[in-house]
Amino acid sequence: MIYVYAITEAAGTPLPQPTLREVTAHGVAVVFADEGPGGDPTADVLWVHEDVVESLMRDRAVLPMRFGTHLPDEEAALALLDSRRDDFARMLDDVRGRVELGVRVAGRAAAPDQPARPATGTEYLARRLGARREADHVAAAVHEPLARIADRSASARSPRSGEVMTASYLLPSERVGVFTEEIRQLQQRHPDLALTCTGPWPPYSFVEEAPA
Amino acid sequence: MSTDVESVSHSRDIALIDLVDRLLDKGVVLSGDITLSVANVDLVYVGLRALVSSVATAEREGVPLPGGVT
Amino acid sequence: MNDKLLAAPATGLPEVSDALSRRVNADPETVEQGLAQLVLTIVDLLRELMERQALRRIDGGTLDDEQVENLGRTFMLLQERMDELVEEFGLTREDLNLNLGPLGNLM
Repeated sequence: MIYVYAITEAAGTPLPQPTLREVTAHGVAVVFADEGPGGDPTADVLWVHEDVVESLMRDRAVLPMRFGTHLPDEEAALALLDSRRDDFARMLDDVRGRVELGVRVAGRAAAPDQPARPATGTEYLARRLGARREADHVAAAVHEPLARIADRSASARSPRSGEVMTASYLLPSERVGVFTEEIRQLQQRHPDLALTCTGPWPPYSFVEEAPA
Repeated sequence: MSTDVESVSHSRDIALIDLVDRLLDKGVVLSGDITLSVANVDLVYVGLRALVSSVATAEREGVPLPGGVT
Repeated sequence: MNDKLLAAPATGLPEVSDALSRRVNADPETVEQGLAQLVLTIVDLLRELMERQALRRIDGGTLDDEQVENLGRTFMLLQERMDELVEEFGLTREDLNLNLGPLGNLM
Protein backbone atom coordinates (compact mmCIF):
# COMPACT_ATOMS: atom_id res chain seq x y z
CA MET A 1 0.00 0.00 0.00
CA ILE A 2 1.03 3.58 -0.59
CA TYR A 3 -0.07 6.50 1.54
CA VAL A 4 -1.57 9.28 -0.55
CA TYR A 5 -1.18 12.87 0.61
CA ALA A 6 -2.69 14.74 -2.32
CA ILE A 7 -3.65 14.93 -5.97
CA THR A 8 -1.81 17.89 -7.45
CA GLU A 9 -1.08 19.47 -10.77
CA ALA A 10 2.01 17.98 -12.38
CA ALA A 11 4.04 21.14 -11.87
CA GLY A 12 7.43 19.52 -12.21
CA THR A 13 8.57 21.36 -9.09
CA PRO A 14 10.72 19.41 -6.62
CA LEU A 15 8.81 17.61 -3.89
CA PRO A 16 9.30 19.25 -0.50
CA GLN A 17 10.43 16.12 1.38
CA PRO A 18 12.73 13.22 0.48
CA THR A 19 10.16 10.57 1.49
CA LEU A 20 7.60 11.87 -1.02
CA ARG A 21 7.14 10.40 -4.48
CA GLU A 22 4.76 11.09 -7.33
CA VAL A 23 3.33 9.55 -10.46
CA THR A 24 1.88 11.76 -13.14
CA ALA A 25 -0.51 11.46 -16.07
CA HIS A 26 -2.49 14.01 -18.09
CA GLY A 27 -0.90 16.91 -16.23
CA VAL A 28 -2.01 15.61 -12.83
CA ALA A 29 0.09 13.96 -10.11
CA VAL A 30 -0.57 11.62 -7.22
CA VAL A 31 1.82 12.54 -4.39
CA PHE A 32 2.46 9.70 -1.97
CA ALA A 33 4.88 8.00 0.38
CA ASP A 34 5.57 4.39 1.24
CA GLU A 35 4.35 5.08 4.75
CA GLY A 36 2.11 7.66 6.33
CA PRO A 37 3.04 9.93 9.22
CA GLY A 38 1.83 7.43 11.83
CA GLY A 39 -0.76 4.79 12.53
CA ASP A 40 -2.91 6.45 15.15
CA PRO A 41 -4.34 9.85 14.30
CA THR A 42 -2.94 11.78 17.25
CA ALA A 43 -2.76 15.55 17.08
CA ASP A 44 0.98 15.48 16.28
CA VAL A 45 0.52 12.93 13.50
CA LEU A 46 -2.33 14.93 11.98
CA TRP A 47 -0.21 18.07 11.92
CA VAL A 48 2.56 16.16 10.12
CA HIS A 49 0.10 15.16 7.41
CA GLU A 50 -1.16 18.74 7.27
CA ASP A 51 2.38 20.15 6.98
CA VAL A 52 3.12 17.90 4.00
CA VAL A 53 -0.03 19.05 2.23
CA GLU A 54 0.65 22.71 2.97
CA SER A 55 4.23 22.49 1.76
CA LEU A 56 2.97 21.02 -1.53
CA MET A 57 0.55 23.92 -1.79
CA ARG A 58 3.37 26.45 -1.85
CA ASP A 59 4.07 25.89 -5.51
CA ARG A 60 1.29 23.81 -7.03
CA ALA A 61 -2.51 23.50 -7.01
CA VAL A 62 -3.45 20.76 -4.54
CA LEU A 63 -6.44 18.52 -3.87
CA PRO A 64 -5.68 17.35 -0.33
CA MET A 65 -6.49 13.82 0.78
CA ARG A 66 -7.85 13.03 4.22
CA PHE A 67 -5.68 11.30 6.78
CA GLY A 68 -5.30 7.59 6.15
CA THR A 69 -5.93 7.59 2.41
CA HIS A 70 -4.18 4.64 0.76
CA LEU A 71 -3.94 3.10 -2.67
CA PRO A 72 -2.71 -0.43 -3.38
CA ASP A 73 0.34 0.70 -5.42
CA GLU A 74 1.64 3.06 -8.11
CA GLU A 75 -0.27 1.23 -10.82
CA ALA A 76 -3.49 1.92 -8.98
CA ALA A 77 -2.49 5.59 -8.70
CA LEU A 78 -1.98 5.78 -12.47
CA ALA A 79 -5.29 4.03 -13.06
CA LEU A 80 -6.97 6.62 -10.82
CA LEU A 81 -5.41 9.45 -12.81
CA ASP A 82 -6.76 7.86 -15.99
CA SER A 83 -10.27 7.19 -14.77
CA ARG A 84 -10.87 10.61 -13.19
CA ARG A 85 -8.72 12.81 -15.38
CA ASP A 86 -11.51 15.28 -16.21
CA ASP A 87 -12.70 15.54 -12.61
CA PHE A 88 -9.21 16.20 -11.28
CA ALA A 89 -8.42 18.78 -13.97
CA ARG A 90 -11.65 20.62 -13.21
CA MET A 91 -11.20 20.51 -9.43
CA LEU A 92 -7.59 21.67 -9.68
CA ASP A 93 -8.74 24.64 -11.75
CA ASP A 94 -11.34 25.42 -9.09
CA VAL A 95 -8.82 25.50 -6.26
CA ARG A 96 -5.73 26.98 -7.93
CA GLY A 97 -4.50 30.01 -5.96
CA ARG A 98 -7.28 29.52 -3.42
CA VAL A 99 -7.48 28.55 0.24
CA GLU A 100 -10.19 27.29 2.52
CA LEU A 101 -11.39 29.13 5.62
CA GLY A 102 -13.54 27.49 8.27
CA VAL A 103 -16.24 29.37 10.16
CA ARG A 104 -18.18 28.17 13.18
CA VAL A 105 -20.97 30.05 14.92
CA ALA A 106 -22.13 29.33 18.44
CA GLY A 107 -25.55 30.63 19.32
CA ARG A 108 -26.95 32.35 22.31
CA ALA A 109 -26.54 30.49 25.55
CA ALA A 110 -29.73 29.02 27.00
CA ALA A 111 -31.49 31.21 29.52
CA PRO A 112 -29.87 30.49 32.90
CA ASP A 113 -33.17 29.74 34.61
CA GLN A 114 -34.29 27.37 31.88
CA PRO A 115 -34.52 23.80 33.22
CA ALA A 116 -32.52 21.24 31.21
CA ARG A 117 -35.51 19.09 30.41
CA PRO A 118 -38.62 20.84 29.03
CA ALA A 119 -41.64 20.34 31.29
CA THR A 120 -44.13 19.77 28.50
CA GLY A 121 -44.19 18.63 24.90
CA THR A 122 -45.30 22.10 23.91
CA GLU A 123 -42.30 23.64 25.58
CA TYR A 124 -40.00 21.15 23.87
CA LEU A 125 -41.34 22.18 20.47
CA ALA A 126 -41.20 25.84 21.41
CA ARG A 127 -37.50 25.50 22.16
CA ARG A 128 -36.93 23.62 18.92
CA LEU A 129 -38.80 26.31 17.01
CA GLY A 130 -36.62 28.93 18.63
CA ALA A 131 -33.51 26.98 17.70
CA ARG A 132 -34.67 26.66 14.08
CA ARG A 133 -35.44 30.36 13.82
CA GLU A 134 -32.05 31.14 15.28
CA ALA A 135 -30.33 28.89 12.76
CA ASP A 136 -32.17 30.60 9.91
CA HIS A 137 -31.26 33.99 11.33
CA VAL A 138 -27.62 33.01 11.55
CA ALA A 139 -27.64 31.62 8.05
CA ALA A 140 -28.97 34.86 6.67
CA ALA A 141 -26.88 37.15 8.84
CA VAL A 142 -23.56 35.37 8.69
CA HIS A 143 -23.39 32.85 5.87
CA GLU A 144 -24.78 35.03 3.12
CA PRO A 145 -22.32 37.93 3.36
CA LEU A 146 -19.41 35.49 3.68
CA ALA A 147 -20.60 33.44 0.72
CA ARG A 148 -20.64 36.63 -1.35
CA ILE A 149 -16.95 37.20 -0.64
CA ALA A 150 -15.94 33.58 -1.27
CA ASP A 151 -15.92 31.77 -4.58
CA ARG A 152 -17.64 28.71 -3.14
CA SER A 153 -18.94 27.47 0.16
CA ALA A 154 -19.58 24.03 1.60
CA SER A 155 -21.19 22.69 4.70
CA ALA A 156 -19.67 19.27 5.10
CA ARG A 157 -20.80 18.31 8.57
CA SER A 158 -23.57 18.99 11.02
CA PRO A 159 -22.81 21.68 13.57
CA ARG A 160 -21.42 20.39 16.85
CA SER A 161 -23.58 20.68 19.93
CA GLY A 162 -23.76 24.29 21.02
CA GLU A 163 -23.15 25.48 17.49
CA VAL A 164 -25.69 26.66 14.95
CA MET A 165 -23.51 26.73 11.87
CA THR A 166 -20.28 25.30 10.57
CA ALA A 167 -19.14 25.98 7.03
CA SER A 168 -16.10 26.20 4.79
CA TYR A 169 -15.38 28.92 2.25
CA LEU A 170 -13.08 28.74 -0.78
CA LEU A 171 -11.46 32.00 -1.84
CA PRO A 172 -8.32 33.38 -3.46
CA SER A 173 -5.59 33.82 -0.88
CA GLU A 174 -5.47 37.57 -1.60
CA ARG A 175 -9.03 37.88 -0.38
CA VAL A 176 -8.43 36.38 3.09
CA GLY A 177 -7.97 39.83 4.64
CA VAL A 178 -11.32 41.05 3.27
CA PHE A 179 -12.97 37.89 4.57
CA THR A 180 -11.57 38.16 8.11
CA GLU A 181 -12.47 41.84 8.20
CA GLU A 182 -16.05 40.85 7.36
CA ILE A 183 -15.96 38.30 10.20
CA ARG A 184 -14.84 41.06 12.58
CA GLN A 185 -17.66 43.33 11.45
CA LEU A 186 -20.24 40.56 11.66
CA GLN A 187 -19.08 39.78 15.18
CA GLN A 188 -19.51 43.41 16.17
CA ARG A 189 -22.94 43.59 14.59
CA HIS A 190 -24.06 40.37 16.30
CA PRO A 191 -22.60 40.33 19.80
CA ASP A 192 -25.01 37.54 20.74
CA LEU A 193 -23.28 35.13 18.33
CA ALA A 194 -19.77 33.75 18.82
CA LEU A 195 -17.88 33.54 15.52
CA THR A 196 -14.72 31.51 15.12
CA CYS A 197 -12.69 31.55 11.92
CA THR A 198 -9.74 29.28 11.20
CA GLY A 199 -7.41 28.86 8.25
CA PRO A 200 -6.05 29.14 5.72
CA TRP A 201 -6.50 25.44 5.07
CA PRO A 202 -5.90 23.39 1.95
CA PRO A 203 -9.25 22.93 0.17
CA TYR A 204 -10.29 19.70 1.96
CA SER A 205 -13.97 20.52 1.75
CA PHE A 206 -13.88 21.09 -2.00
CA VAL A 207 -12.50 17.73 -3.10
CA GLU A 208 -15.31 15.57 -4.37
CA GLU A 209 -15.58 11.93 -3.45
CA ALA A 210 -15.51 9.51 -6.34
CA PRO A 211 -18.94 9.16 -7.93
CA ALA A 212 -20.86 5.97 -7.16
CA MET B 1 -3.99 39.13 20.33
CA SER B 2 -2.71 37.88 23.67
CA THR B 3 0.46 35.85 23.51
CA ASP B 4 0.40 34.18 26.89
CA VAL B 5 0.98 30.43 26.91
CA GLU B 6 -2.57 29.47 27.84
CA SER B 7 -4.20 31.39 25.02
CA VAL B 8 -1.71 30.09 22.46
CA SER B 9 -2.40 26.48 23.38
CA HIS B 10 -6.13 27.18 23.45
CA SER B 11 -6.01 28.61 19.95
CA ARG B 12 -4.10 25.53 18.80
CA ASP B 13 -6.87 23.42 20.32
CA ILE B 14 -9.46 25.33 18.32
CA ALA B 15 -7.42 24.94 15.15
CA LEU B 16 -7.11 21.24 15.97
CA ILE B 17 -10.91 20.85 16.02
CA ASP B 18 -11.07 22.22 12.49
CA LEU B 19 -8.08 20.11 11.42
CA VAL B 20 -9.74 16.98 12.77
CA ASP B 21 -12.99 17.82 10.97
CA ARG B 22 -11.06 18.02 7.70
CA LEU B 23 -8.65 15.12 8.09
CA LEU B 24 -10.80 12.58 9.89
CA ASP B 25 -14.16 12.35 8.26
CA LYS B 26 -15.96 10.13 10.70
CA GLY B 27 -19.37 11.03 9.46
CA VAL B 28 -21.46 8.64 7.48
CA VAL B 29 -20.92 9.45 3.84
CA LEU B 30 -24.17 9.16 1.97
CA SER B 31 -22.89 10.15 -1.43
CA GLY B 32 -22.31 6.62 -2.61
CA ASP B 33 -23.83 3.21 -2.31
CA ILE B 34 -23.14 0.45 0.14
CA THR B 35 -23.30 -3.29 -0.01
CA LEU B 36 -24.09 -5.06 3.23
CA SER B 37 -22.36 -8.40 3.46
CA VAL B 38 -22.44 -11.27 5.93
CA ALA B 39 -19.73 -13.93 5.85
CA ASN B 40 -18.43 -12.56 2.57
CA VAL B 41 -21.80 -12.91 0.92
CA ASP B 42 -23.23 -9.70 -0.54
CA LEU B 43 -26.81 -9.61 0.63
CA VAL B 44 -28.23 -6.12 0.38
CA TYR B 45 -27.41 -3.32 -2.03
CA VAL B 46 -28.52 0.04 -0.72
CA GLY B 47 -28.71 2.91 -3.13
CA LEU B 48 -28.04 5.67 -0.67
CA ARG B 49 -28.10 8.46 -3.18
CA ALA B 50 -31.67 7.48 -4.02
CA LEU B 51 -32.51 7.34 -0.32
CA VAL B 52 -31.17 10.79 0.34
CA SER B 53 -32.94 12.24 -2.69
CA SER B 54 -36.25 10.82 -1.60
CA VAL B 55 -35.70 12.07 1.93
CA ALA B 56 -34.97 15.56 0.63
CA THR B 57 -38.17 15.39 -1.40
CA ALA B 58 -40.01 14.28 1.70
CA GLU B 59 -38.80 17.37 3.50
CA ARG B 60 -40.18 19.59 0.79
CA GLU B 61 -43.47 17.83 0.37
CA GLY B 62 -44.10 16.72 3.93
CA VAL B 63 -43.94 13.36 5.66
CA PRO B 64 -46.64 11.74 7.77
CA LEU B 65 -46.46 12.88 11.36
CA PRO B 66 -46.53 10.44 14.27
CA GLY B 67 -49.79 9.92 16.08
CA GLY B 68 -51.88 9.98 12.93
CA VAL B 69 -51.91 13.76 12.66
CA THR B 70 -52.82 14.79 9.13
CA MET C 1 2.63 24.88 11.79
CA ASN C 2 1.31 28.40 11.76
CA ASP C 3 -1.36 29.57 14.12
CA LYS C 4 -4.59 29.00 12.23
CA LEU C 5 -6.93 30.99 14.42
CA LEU C 6 -8.01 34.01 12.39
CA ALA C 7 -10.89 35.19 14.53
CA ALA C 8 -12.42 34.14 17.81
CA PRO C 9 -15.20 35.48 20.00
CA ALA C 10 -14.18 38.11 22.53
CA THR C 11 -15.85 36.43 25.47
CA GLY C 12 -14.79 32.86 26.09
CA LEU C 13 -13.62 30.36 23.51
CA PRO C 14 -15.66 27.26 22.70
CA GLU C 15 -15.37 24.20 24.90
CA VAL C 16 -12.83 22.01 23.19
CA SER C 17 -11.45 19.26 25.35
CA ASP C 18 -14.21 16.62 25.29
CA ALA C 19 -15.03 16.69 21.61
CA LEU C 20 -11.36 16.73 20.77
CA SER C 21 -10.16 13.65 22.61
CA ARG C 22 -13.11 11.61 21.40
CA ARG C 23 -12.53 12.54 17.77
CA VAL C 24 -8.81 12.09 17.70
CA ASN C 25 -8.46 8.92 19.70
CA ALA C 26 -11.59 6.93 19.05
CA ASP C 27 -12.38 4.75 16.12
CA PRO C 28 -15.33 2.42 15.56
CA GLU C 29 -14.00 -0.75 17.18
CA THR C 30 -16.31 -3.22 15.59
CA VAL C 31 -18.23 -3.81 12.43
CA GLU C 32 -21.34 -3.79 14.58
CA GLN C 33 -20.64 -0.30 15.83
CA GLY C 34 -20.03 0.91 12.29
CA LEU C 35 -23.34 -0.52 11.19
CA ALA C 36 -25.06 0.95 14.23
CA GLN C 37 -23.61 4.31 13.34
CA LEU C 38 -25.04 4.08 9.83
CA VAL C 39 -28.46 2.91 10.96
CA LEU C 40 -28.78 5.41 13.79
CA THR C 41 -27.71 8.24 11.49
CA ILE C 42 -30.51 7.43 9.08
CA VAL C 43 -33.01 7.04 11.93
CA ASP C 44 -31.93 10.39 13.33
CA LEU C 45 -32.28 11.95 9.91
CA LEU C 46 -35.87 10.77 9.66
CA ARG C 47 -36.62 11.95 13.18
CA GLU C 48 -35.17 15.35 12.38
CA LEU C 49 -37.22 15.62 9.19
CA MET C 50 -40.46 14.72 10.95
CA GLU C 51 -39.72 17.20 13.69
CA ARG C 52 -39.04 19.97 11.18
CA GLN C 53 -42.28 19.17 9.41
CA ALA C 54 -44.14 19.44 12.70
CA LEU C 55 -42.49 22.79 13.42
CA ARG C 56 -43.51 24.04 9.98
CA ARG C 57 -47.10 23.06 10.74
CA ILE C 58 -46.96 24.83 14.10
CA ASP C 59 -45.51 27.93 12.49
CA GLY C 60 -48.31 27.80 9.98
CA GLY C 61 -50.90 27.55 12.75
CA THR C 62 -52.62 24.42 11.44
CA LEU C 63 -52.40 22.36 14.64
CA ASP C 64 -54.43 22.72 17.81
CA ASP C 65 -52.93 22.86 21.30
CA GLU C 66 -53.57 19.22 22.06
CA GLN C 67 -51.93 18.06 18.83
CA VAL C 68 -48.93 20.29 19.55
CA GLU C 69 -48.57 18.88 23.05
CA ASN C 70 -48.85 15.26 21.85
CA LEU C 71 -46.37 15.81 19.06
CA GLY C 72 -43.97 17.58 21.39
CA ARG C 73 -44.07 14.77 23.95
CA THR C 74 -43.54 12.19 21.21
CA PHE C 75 -40.56 13.99 19.74
CA MET C 76 -39.07 14.62 23.16
CA LEU C 77 -39.29 10.91 23.93
CA LEU C 78 -37.80 10.08 20.53
CA GLN C 79 -34.85 12.35 21.31
CA GLU C 80 -34.29 10.67 24.65
CA ARG C 81 -34.56 7.22 23.09
CA MET C 82 -32.00 8.26 20.45
CA ASP C 83 -29.67 9.37 23.25
CA GLU C 84 -30.05 5.99 24.93
CA LEU C 85 -29.52 3.99 21.73
CA VAL C 86 -26.49 6.01 20.81
CA GLU C 87 -24.97 5.45 24.23
CA GLU C 88 -25.70 1.71 24.11
CA PHE C 89 -23.47 1.43 21.06
CA GLY C 90 -20.66 3.48 22.53
CA LEU C 91 -21.35 6.37 20.19
CA THR C 92 -22.23 10.02 20.67
CA ARG C 93 -24.78 12.17 18.85
CA GLU C 94 -21.85 13.89 17.20
CA ASP C 95 -20.96 10.57 15.54
CA LEU C 96 -24.29 10.71 13.75
CA ASN C 97 -22.90 13.29 11.43
CA LEU C 98 -24.17 13.28 7.91
CA ASN C 99 -21.68 14.02 5.20
CA LEU C 100 -23.80 14.18 2.10
CA GLY C 101 -20.94 15.01 -0.26
CA PRO C 102 -22.07 17.18 -3.13
CA LEU C 103 -25.61 17.24 -1.75
CA GLY C 104 -24.46 19.27 1.19
CA ASN C 105 -25.52 19.19 4.77
CA LEU C 106 -29.11 18.18 5.31
CA MET C 107 -29.13 18.94 9.00
